[in-house]
Parts: sequence; structure tokens; C-alpha cells
Amino acid sequence: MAEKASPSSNSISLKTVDGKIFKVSPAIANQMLTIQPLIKDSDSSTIISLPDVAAFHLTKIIEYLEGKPAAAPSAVDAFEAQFVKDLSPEELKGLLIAVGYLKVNGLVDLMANTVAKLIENKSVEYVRKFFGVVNDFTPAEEAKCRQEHAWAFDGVDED
Amino acid sequence: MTKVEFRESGLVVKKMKKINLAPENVDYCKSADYQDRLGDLPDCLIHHILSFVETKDAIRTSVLSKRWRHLWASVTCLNFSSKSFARLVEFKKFVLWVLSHRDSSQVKVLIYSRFGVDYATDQYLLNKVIEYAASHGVEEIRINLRAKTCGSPPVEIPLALFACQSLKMLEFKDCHPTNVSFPFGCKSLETLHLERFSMHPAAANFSNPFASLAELFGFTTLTTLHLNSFSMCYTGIDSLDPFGNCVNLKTLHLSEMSFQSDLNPKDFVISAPQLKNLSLMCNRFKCKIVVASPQLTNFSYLYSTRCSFLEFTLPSMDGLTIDIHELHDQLEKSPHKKRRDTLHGLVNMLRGHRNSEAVKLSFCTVAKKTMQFMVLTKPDKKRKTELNFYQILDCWVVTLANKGKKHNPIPVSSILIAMRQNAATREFYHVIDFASANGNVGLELPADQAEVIFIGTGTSEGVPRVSCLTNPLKKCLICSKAAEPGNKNRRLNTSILIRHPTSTGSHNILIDAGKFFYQSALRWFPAFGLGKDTCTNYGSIMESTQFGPFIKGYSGPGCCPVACVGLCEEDVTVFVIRTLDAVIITHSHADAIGGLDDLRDWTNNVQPNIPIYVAKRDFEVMTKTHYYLVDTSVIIPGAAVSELQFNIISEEPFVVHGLKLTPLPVWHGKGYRSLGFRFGNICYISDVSDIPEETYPLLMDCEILIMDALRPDRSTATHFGLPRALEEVRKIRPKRTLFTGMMHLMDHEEVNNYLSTLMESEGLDVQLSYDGLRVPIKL
Repeated sequence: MAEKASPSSNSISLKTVDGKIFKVSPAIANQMLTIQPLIKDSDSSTIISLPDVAAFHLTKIIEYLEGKPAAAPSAVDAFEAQFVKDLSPEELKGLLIAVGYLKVNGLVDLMANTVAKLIENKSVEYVRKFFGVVNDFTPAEEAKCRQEHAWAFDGVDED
Repeated sequence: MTKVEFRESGLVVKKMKKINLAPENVDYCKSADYQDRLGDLPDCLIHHILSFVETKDAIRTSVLSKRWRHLWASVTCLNFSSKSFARLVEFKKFVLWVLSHRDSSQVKVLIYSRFGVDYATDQYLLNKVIEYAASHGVEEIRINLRAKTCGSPPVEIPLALFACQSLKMLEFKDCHPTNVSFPFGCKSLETLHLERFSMHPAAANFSNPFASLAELFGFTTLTTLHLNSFSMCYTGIDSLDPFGNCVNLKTLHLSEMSFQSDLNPKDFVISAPQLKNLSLMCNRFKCKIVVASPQLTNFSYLYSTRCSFLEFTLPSMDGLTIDIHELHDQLEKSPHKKRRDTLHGLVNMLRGHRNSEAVKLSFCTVAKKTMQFMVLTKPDKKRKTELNFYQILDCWVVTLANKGKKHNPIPVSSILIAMRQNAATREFYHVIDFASANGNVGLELPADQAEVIFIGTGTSEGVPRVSCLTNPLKKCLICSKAAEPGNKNRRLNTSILIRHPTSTGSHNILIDAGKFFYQSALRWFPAFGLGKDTCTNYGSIMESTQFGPFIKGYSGPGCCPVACVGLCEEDVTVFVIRTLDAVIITHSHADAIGGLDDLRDWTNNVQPNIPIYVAKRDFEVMTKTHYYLVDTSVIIPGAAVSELQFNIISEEPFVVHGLKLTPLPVWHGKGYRSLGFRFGNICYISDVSDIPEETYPLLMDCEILIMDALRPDRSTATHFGLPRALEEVRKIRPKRTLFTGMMHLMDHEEVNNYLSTLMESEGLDVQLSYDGLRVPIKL
């Protein structure tokens, strides 16, 4: 049991929803709070299936966890800005769900904040499209709702 | 392969080889294509996203769909900003609407930014908002009340805030505390940021400007404290140690702090016992900042005040990372003094911690590093010393980066040694290479190395001459140069110290204690030539860069081909010259005996007495000049004067602490005798106008000759000039010669360049000595 507990001796296998298997070090896996409790009892032959995570997202998550600088806040900021820079809105959303599911340290805040920035001051239609929300209000209901919060619609960007 | 299904929330791991982690949301399982699920962000993620936007924006999402209709109401962050509203009345209406329509879930974070001047509304709204947050378990509050016009009554912090037990983090900008004397203050705060926070006049405590703050916000529970833009009143004169009882404090950031009047505390002490990260940016203290937190690991510093300087009294700096910031645009324009003071702190910092093995030093600028490097290495004659200094720091960082020595730091001792070098990059690299080649243990130099230390190498009046520096008609180039710290033309009264290690310990034997003995001793006796007064230290360390190289196996132009010089001994500590075990007098001129009275510091505080070895004729002079030292019976009992034991020497050899010294009688002006001394194969003749024939045999087989050479052109009635001195060198034929007793006409660099040519033409190894030069010798 002792060797099993030692974190450096075995890597953790993670299987994504699209069938790819990733081997990560326990140090990395430990930062995914959802799978954390499983790590200490697993050995190198254990495969943990992640039904909500695609290979692309897990790649990004591992990239983040491995690349994040340990020290200076300014370096972390720069790294995070670079990390989200090239992600499309679609990728952002997918990654947010994966990250939210795995409860990845630090990355949940980063993704949520990035998405928040994208929808800030955007029109209802834009945000609906962004989140893929189907409008189930009747036109009358929606108008009433808008009326209720009329002040909320000042200064919204045109898209 | 054993396969055990893993379902639902049961995280009990049986003997299994495969774990199927249950999805959090059952809906996800039904959909094979995760793309379809994008609209189905779990509520917690939506809340998370909405907690990063203003509450106004969050509420707008209620129009998206029925699911979103009330999602905003349970977002755990309330973020109000009056900027998003055209009129104050709308902002007020909005805030009150939100408070009454939100559901009862917790408010973790409250952010409230109000940019206006309507006092009545501000106070009312702030009270409402804080009361609401406090009753909803708020953990974090950020309040920004910008743009208050002066004259309007200050908005006070609602009392509800201080009663709130859930509050962990508080940030206030432009607020005023309530005018209440608190029996209570915050009890649970961990993080506090205060910016432009004026103290209530009634609560002001002039003997400790932080006392009421500490009470109000419960400093003892804080782990992080940021104070920005404070103008404090302080009327005391004692040291101020405002954070000493912040027992949990790990991070402290002070920026743009100042005292209102010229009355500053003696020292501003930072002694929080658990402090790990300290950052001092742009503070305008006109006092010494003493960093005394024993646990410190990170220190950032951005210089701003001319008058403040740093002192570090840490038990260890192992593992400490020091970040010295400097704004790039200041760099070129910034007064010299500014940069100097930044370095000043650095020097002091390193001074006390020579044994630390892991101080990381990074010198960064806000702008690009490469630019900095260019600026710093651009030759600038006026600021040569300082640029060199920068160069060192920069090179160090560069070296670390290049060699990937992130976890293999170079000992501070090497850095200091590097600083004491002539500071040229090449030599610096030499140090680095040396240090790394030796497994980073620092420089090992034998403790039993005898050496000669040149305490002074100049004439009676010293170089620079005051008269040259004050002459309105003629600029003396050499004295101007000598006025710069670290210049080798800077010379005090001729004197040397022989360090003579024996089986019973090392003995310090001084030859001559002239008028400037105190200054010389102050400069060279304490470690690194630094005294206790930090104000003068900066200059001293620059001066001390004129030490010759003391790296094993290194010899460079103008330097002795040393095997090794005893700069460092045991454990790479730099030794302090503590005792004076004997003083030997060459003659009785003021520049040789004028410092006898200063020896009282040693006989009163270091040792019971000092033996003085002096010729009879010179002793007779002393009975007049220093009658109270020779015959202490004239002293009022209890008065502390130097305890000197006079030993009269003839022209015969005598032994001092096991070292045989042979007097070398010479003429110092017509009919006036002065003594040189030979010890081992070293001959020292500091004041000479002629060498009698009978003395020449005593100079035979001389290895190092240290001899008088007053001026470059001609001899005087009492001293050799350079031509005559060289003539004598050719006659005596020592292996190596160092001239001393130079006046202001002898430019160190220029004359040494000339003397170097003699090496090529005649094989004469002749150089000028300089104050602080150390030469290893064999005795």
C-alpha cells in the first residue's frame, strides 16, 4: 500500500468521453477536485472515465495546470491571458463545462470570468445565442419582463 | 481485469481497476454529443459567471428564457456601480430594487462603487447595502467612494460592518471611519485593503497613527494588509513599530505612505512575526525603515524617497527573494541619488547576511529587461561607479537565467565579493565561475594567511585636498576624481596594518596612527569597511570596491598576482579587525602619531592596553604632544584616555607578538631620522628623502618593497619623488614594489599605466598602492 500512496510512483489514467486516455501525474490530477478522492486508491492500471470531458478540453486543462507559473502574480496574469486568448466562444463554453465538472483549481474562476467578460453589456439576443438558450417566453411575457427591468437595458452594446 | 462499477455519489473504491466517474448532471449522460449541452450549463456555473459581472448585467439575463428568469436572484456577488447609471436617483432605485427582489441566499461578495457627491443619498444607500450584506453572511466587501468633493461631510462606515462576523476580506477606497469609540471592531477579518482612508480626527492617536486602525479592523486577525496612500500624523520621536502585534500577518503591502509633517519616527520598524511577503512601494518616509520580520521570504521594493533607507535585521535571509523595482522611464532621468538609495538598501540588506546561501536577487524594471540592460551598460563616465554596480546586479540575474541556476543560488558572499571587485563585468563573471566551480560553497581562503592592509597611502593633508576642491580658479582633476567615492586617488595618512597569524591567534600590528587614523579604521576595520552608521555605508561600500582581486588564481592588470588574499575566512565570513595588538611608530610627525589619542576606543572597549613601539627621539616628542598619554599621572582619576604601553626601540631588530621587525633607518629631511621596518621579506619605508649606505644591506633580498613616492615629477626636501623612488627600486631590486605616501599630483590610473610600461621595458614590477589594498605575504 505504501508504494501506491506515494504520489510520484504512479501516473493516473484519465479517459475522456471521446475515448482518449491521458496519463497525468498525481500532482496534476490532485488539482481536479472531483477526481481527487479517487487518486489515492488508484494505481497505474486504474482508468478513470470522465463522461463530461472531451480530449481537447482535458488537453487544455493539463496545459493550464502544468504551465501555470508558481510565483509572481503578474506572471500568472500573463499566462492566463495567453491561455484564453485563442479560444473561440464555443471552446470557451465547452472548457467551462469540463472545468466546472472536474472542479479544476483556479481554472473555474478564470473560465467563468472570461465568459463573463464576453457577455458583459451584450444584448439579450447575443447572450442567448452565446449560451444556446432557447427563448421559451411568449413575446408578451418577454416584453413584460423587459419592462420590469428597463434600467438594465441602458447602454447595451449593439452587436 | 476486475471491473467494478462505480455509480452515483459512492466514492467508495473497492478493488477495482476501472472507475467510471458518474456525471454530475444526469442530463449530460443522455446526450452523446456534448455540443448539445451548451445551453444546459449547470446553475452553479451560471452563478459563477454572473458573479463576475455587475448586478445590472446579471439581471438582464432574466430575459433570456424562463430558466434564467430568477437565476440572478441567487448570485452570490452583489456588484453595484453608479457609473452604469446616468442619474443618482436611478442608481438608488436600482440598488433598493435589487435588495428587495433578491432571494435569501448568501451574499459572498459585495462590491459597491459610488462616484458621486450626494452625501445624504450616499450615506443612506451605503448603510442599506452594508446592512443587507451583513445580514446575508457577506465574506468580502469592496467599497470605493471616489470623487468626493472636499467640504462635503465624509461618508462613514456603517456600524453594521463591524458587527459582521462572517466578513473575511475588506477593501475601502476613499472612506472615513465612523466617529465612534469602538468597544468592538472587526473580529474575523483576514484581508484588509485601505486606500486613501482618512482617519477620523477624534480617533487620531498621534503617538501611533495606526492604533485606531488596528482597533477598528482587528489587525491581530489579519493575514494580508495593504495600505495605500496614507498621510499620517505622528508626533513622537521614538521608533514606530505598528505591525509588531499583527501575529497572523503574512503579507504586507505599503505604498505611498507618508507622514504629514517633518516629524517622522526615528525608525519605522516592520516586525510582524509571521510576515512572509513584504512590499514597499513609493513610500515617502523620511526615516529609516527597519525590516525585522524573521519569517520573511519575499521582499519587493520600489524606491521613492530620498530620505528613507532600509536596514535589515533578519536572523537569516536564506530563501529570501528580493525584487528591486524601478520604473523604466525614471531610469534615464532619475536623479542618480534615487537609484543610489535603492541600492543603498540593497547593500545594507546583504551586509548583515554574508552567510546566507539562498538569497535570490532580481533587479527588474517595469519596462523591458533588455532595454534596461542597454541603458545600464551604456558607458557613462560621470556615473561610472554606479553603473558598474548596476551592471553587477544585472549580470547576476542574467547569469542565473543563462545557467539555469534557479535552484542553485550563488552565495551572497560571492556577490559581495563581486561588489568589492573593481566591478568590471569580466571579473564579476570570474567570481560566478569560481563560485560555481566550487560547488557554490563560496570562496575558501585560508584563515592563516598573513597580509598587509594599506590603511592609508596618502600625504599628511590627505587626498582630495580641501583647498583643491574649493579653488574657484583652477580645477584639480585628480582631487575631483578623488572626491568620488571608490576612487583610488582618495588617500588618507600613510599607514599599514600587518595581520600576522600565529599559533596563538592572529595579531594586528599597525604601523603609524596618523591624524586620519579614525577615518581609516572606520573605513576598513569593520566588516566590508562598513561602520554602524548606515548613512555613510553606501559611500563606504562603493569605496570598498577598490579592493584588489582576491580570487584564487586570479591576477589582473594593476593587481598583485595573488595566490589568495585573506578577505574571507572561516565560513566565508568577512573578518573584522577587532584588536590592535601593537602600534609601531616610524617617526613623530602628525601624520604618523596624530591618531594616538583615538586608540582610547580600543583600550576602553576592546582590550586593556596597546603596546607602542617607538624610537627614543620620537617618544620625547610624544611627551610633549601627547603628554597625558605618556604620563597618565596628570590625568584626573576616572578620565578615560588611551592606555598605552611605550616600548622604546633602538635601531636594532625587535620582536612583536612573535614577529621580528628590523628598523630601517632613513633620512626624512636633512638631519631628521625616520624608521622603515622590515618584517619577513617585506620592507616598508613610508617617509624618506635619502637612504643611508648602512641601510642598504638590510634591504637585500626584498620581496615586496613598500616605499615613499610623493609626487610624479621631482623629490622634495623630505620625500622621494617618483624618479628618485624608481632609481632606488632599481638599486634595491625587490621582486615587487608598491609606492605609498602619494600626494594629489599622483593620478592612480595614469601613474600606474606608466609604471606598467616599466614592466615591459625593464621587468620592474612597480605599482601604486591605494587605501584598502590588501596584499598577502609570507612571514
